[in-house]
Amino acid sequence: MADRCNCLPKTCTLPIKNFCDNNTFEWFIQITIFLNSIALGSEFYEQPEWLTKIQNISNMIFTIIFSVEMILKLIGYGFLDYIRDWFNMFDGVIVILSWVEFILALTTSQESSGLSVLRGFRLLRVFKLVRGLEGIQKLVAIVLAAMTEAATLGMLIILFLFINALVGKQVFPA
Amino acid sequence: MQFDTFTNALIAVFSVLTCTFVDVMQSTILSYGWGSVVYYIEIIVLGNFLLLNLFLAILLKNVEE
Repeated sequence: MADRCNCLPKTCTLPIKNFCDNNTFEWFIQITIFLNSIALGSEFYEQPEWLTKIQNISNMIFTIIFSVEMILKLIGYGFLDYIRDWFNMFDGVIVILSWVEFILALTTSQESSGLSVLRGFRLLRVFKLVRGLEGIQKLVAIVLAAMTEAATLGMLIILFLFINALVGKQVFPA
Repeated sequence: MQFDTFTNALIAVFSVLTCTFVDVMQSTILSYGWGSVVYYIEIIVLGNFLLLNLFLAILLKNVEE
């Protein structure tokens, strides 16, 4: 199944796979994410023109770096193995979203609300840092496991909110 | 004002649930008397003390495992 999706021969993909597993490559990506976080945080109200320019350029560079990372991993691991890892899927979605944003920004000249929402997805890149930090990864896994358990509890709380809103409407009429 | 429409009531109950109930409570006390405090005590004891802390309980159970 996995082999069928790999149209490229193993001799071609194996060096790329090794390159992706390389520690230096991981560190490079990690540092890129860190720099990207700084670039995202440097935005402020009434910032000078040159800062906006630098941010746009740096955003483009980061997008390209992450796209190259995604493409390399897609070739190296093959599509199915790539998507099996949740972090890879997350990275892929972010890359696709940033390209959609990029294309939309080129085609529509004026600022639209949909564009600013897409730009908000840029901030998700900061979460890519989680991949390199074992402790946080463990915590996130715990929280996710707890969330699935707490789904029924969440339903109960929503019910509680609902009932109390109705009670409040009855007890304190306009 | 807070309990006029259903959506407003939902938001008001949520703000009471997160213990920022002073404004909501004040306006109902002024227009309906002190008896309305019972309603807020019920929400905070049942909702905040019990239900929301159950979230923490589940989280801590998962951490221990």
